[in-house]
Amino acid sequence: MRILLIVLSGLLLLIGSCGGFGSSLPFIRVTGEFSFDYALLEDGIVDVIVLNSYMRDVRILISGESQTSGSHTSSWNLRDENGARVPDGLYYIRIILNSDIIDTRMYEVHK
Amino acid sequence: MTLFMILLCMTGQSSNDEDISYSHRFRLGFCLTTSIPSMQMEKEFADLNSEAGIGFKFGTFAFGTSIEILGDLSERLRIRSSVGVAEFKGKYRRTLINLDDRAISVETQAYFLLNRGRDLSFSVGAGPIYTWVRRNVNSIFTSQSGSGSGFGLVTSMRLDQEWPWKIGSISLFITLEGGYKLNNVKLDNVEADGFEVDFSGPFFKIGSHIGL
Repeated sequence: MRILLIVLSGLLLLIGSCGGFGSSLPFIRVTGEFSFDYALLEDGIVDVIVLNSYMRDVRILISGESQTSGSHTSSWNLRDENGARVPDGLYYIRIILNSDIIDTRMYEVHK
Repeated sequence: MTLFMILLCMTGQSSNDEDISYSHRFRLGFCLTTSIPSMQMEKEFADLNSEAGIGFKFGTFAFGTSIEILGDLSERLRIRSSVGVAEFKGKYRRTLINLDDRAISVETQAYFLLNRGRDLSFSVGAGPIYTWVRRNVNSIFTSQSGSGSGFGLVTSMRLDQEWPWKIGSISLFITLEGGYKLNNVKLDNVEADGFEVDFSGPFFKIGSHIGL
């Protein structure tokens, strides 16, 4: 019994380190402010924009900022440009370097 | 088009005023429609999902049904009014993400009968269409909806059976119609900011009518 518990705990830890049971989902679920990392292969001008499922800009997190190559972190508090919390739904964070889209992430925002 | 021309060749007999009596001046019918809608912005939405690494499966066809009433104003002029629904879908992995565009349309169309025989008639027509659209994007825990309405235009060619099949006392007619709809609707909700659901495109319809 003790061995079984140890094995199960190990499995749970392994699943947790992989991002949880939701790791097979195409999007990340968020209910509040969250941070995300992104990597730049070269120096340049960066824009980070949040879009809704109508492909409209909801929030500009970073606009025209000069950044060096390497890892960076940004965050979103689930609010739009007017400070209002966005409605539940699917949102996309688009990372743009020197006018080229280098990454797009999908999030499911819900209460 | 080939089907239209072959059936048109079968309408050899020219009509006269007495012949209109057997074709029923008014008909009530039910139709099935398939179309290839433009959905340009939905295609861009699919591209956005592809950027995020999600293969969003898109339908090519929209399917719908309608109820219509036909009326002959004269030997050569026919009008049609109808109410119909149409649906267009997209999805990722069945239930994870679903896109559902639905339209309810009211149409009125006037047709000029180019050829009216004893058995078949061939007509061309055009008229306005008014459409209410609803767009739903559903994920596991969320559902986003937007809606809008607007005017459009429909033009078509139509082949109508003029000599009915009799089922008891009911006169039954078959119809084939093909044409093009200009049917682009902007969503009204604030988040949509002018997002367009475009049902414009070619369509094909088959229907059955009873004579009134």
